Amino acid sequence: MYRASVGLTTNMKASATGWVARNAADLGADGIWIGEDISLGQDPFVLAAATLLQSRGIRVGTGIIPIAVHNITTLARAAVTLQEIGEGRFVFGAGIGGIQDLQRRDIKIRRPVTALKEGVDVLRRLWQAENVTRNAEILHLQDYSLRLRKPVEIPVFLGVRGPQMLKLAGRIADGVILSGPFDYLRYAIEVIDKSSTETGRKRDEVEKVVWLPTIPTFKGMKEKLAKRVVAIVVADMPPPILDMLQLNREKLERIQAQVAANGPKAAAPLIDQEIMDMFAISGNREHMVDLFDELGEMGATEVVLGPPFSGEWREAMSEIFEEIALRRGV
Amino acid sequence: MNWGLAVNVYDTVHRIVEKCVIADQGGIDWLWVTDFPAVRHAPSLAAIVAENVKRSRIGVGLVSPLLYRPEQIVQFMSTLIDNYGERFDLLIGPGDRPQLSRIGIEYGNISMLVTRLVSDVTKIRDELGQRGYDGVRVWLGAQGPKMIAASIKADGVLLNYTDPKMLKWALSILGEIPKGFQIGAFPPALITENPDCSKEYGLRKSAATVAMGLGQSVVSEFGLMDTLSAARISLKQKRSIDQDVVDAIDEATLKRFALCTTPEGACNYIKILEGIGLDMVTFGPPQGTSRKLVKNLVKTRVHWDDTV
Repeated sequence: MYRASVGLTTNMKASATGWVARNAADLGADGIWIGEDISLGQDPFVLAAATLLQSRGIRVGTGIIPIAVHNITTLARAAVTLQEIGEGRFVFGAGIGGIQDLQRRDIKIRRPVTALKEGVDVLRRLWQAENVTRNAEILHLQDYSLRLRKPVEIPVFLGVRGPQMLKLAGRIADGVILSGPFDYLRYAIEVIDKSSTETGRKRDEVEKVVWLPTIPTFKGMKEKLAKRVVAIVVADMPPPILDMLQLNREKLERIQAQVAANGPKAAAPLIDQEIMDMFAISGNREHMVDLFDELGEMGATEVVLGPPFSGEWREAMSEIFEEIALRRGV
Repeated sequence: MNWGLAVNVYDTVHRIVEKCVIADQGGIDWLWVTDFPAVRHAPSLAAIVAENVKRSRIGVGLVSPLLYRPEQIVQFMSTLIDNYGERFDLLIGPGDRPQLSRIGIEYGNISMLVTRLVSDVTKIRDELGQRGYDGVRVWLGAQGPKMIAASIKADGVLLNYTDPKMLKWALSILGEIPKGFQIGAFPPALITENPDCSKEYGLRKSAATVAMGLGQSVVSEFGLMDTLSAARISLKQKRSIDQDVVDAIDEATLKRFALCTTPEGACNYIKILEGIGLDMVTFGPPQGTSRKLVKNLVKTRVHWDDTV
């Protein structure tokens, strides 16, 4: 059976993130993931620290921190600090970051796969208490160490999408954080498993966390809002992923064009149930957990609930975890 | 007079928190959680310190805007306040130049550094103010005359000097002090019953770090050109401060850059600083590096409260 966690983003209020942290274990969640909306809302590291401090016994991870937006030593120091605060419960989730976000910050990465690989390699060496000298595209270190008395083990999960990145994750990551339509997820899990076994790793050695927008429509969240969210997700989907889908391509392109021209609200009427089920986990509690089960059968080892959070989301979250527990026979 | 203690150099989170709790219970007013080149991440550490201490105000910094963009600094300060209340201050400074260089960050055009830092401080203060975080006091760490003069744009200045003569000189540069502006000193410190200052490498290294950070004009102002020249040459070759660099500075000079004294001596020193118009003393490393030394500081504070 897959693990089930709660997803937070930095653009949520402290009252909401604090509530999730304090209640996650009692709800039955196995972990909390924190996504960085770059420059929006809360600081990802302080939020992770507060979440570790407010929660009990469960794993807390960043999902994801864009690696090029921070100095590599800040990432290394923050991860060690969080691992000590959480007494071993912290997971470092990283990725290269969205192209548009990076461009807005004048960050250009010529070779993203190599940059991510080098970043992870350097972080692991620093956590192993090594002295590191390295000049690479996104980092420059000269005889730098964290002065650790003993190595610190921090699992690294990578948020990846394209085929080369998926292969890299299969080779080097402890886990991956995946997002996208169901057909794409099936493909991504296959690529990761193949890459990991080719590297001599066991098939299930790389954890697969699937984080999709979860939109419970049974506790006050309006279906219109759910459709707007999905319209945004469709609009952000790169063409190679759309090519993989068993969906009418023209319909998807119409949605993309409508979002670009008039915004997600205008595109919402074009979202039907088939598209909803492909891009999000939505509906009533039974239907949502059916979709989680489907992801589990596909090879996901963990599923993430939310955001967006709207309506009576606390009650909705509680009911979904109850349904999961029921099916686990707890 | 407010008392501060700098924590977070090479300790584990657990030990840092332990020392902060001792300091908090012992009446230390400010706990400054330093960032790079310390090996823990100050904003995250400030969260667990806030979770564990009740009374002390928590200072985040020194934080370098060369390492964090102003919006990142605003973000971590506002997140700390949202989660733990209005208990935080911020100390901004350029940071240690050779150490930053080792992680790929350069000062750039040195003549523009003060202007850049002041602009960053202004941005940070404005943004925090606009978001309603009015209780955060933004301090500027300063040593050179330009930075000291510019610090008036912040809410306070933490002067990287020990010697009262040097502190007086810094105050003369500040000129007329705006209402509410706070002035603090940040001496490397070792307060203990029987200090053997010449044998304390940690203290001597901290003193040497301050001395090596002095600009040319300050070195001339205090007639230190000759006495620091051998150490400067050694630092240029080695690119970091080690035993050879420290040993190249004579003891009398090092003494001007660190406080090494008994609890009674420390109280006398604080009285002098109070007399020249300072509002705070933050005891720098090695005072915060062990539980025993933090307890010594607490004892000194008790002695101060009993006698003054």
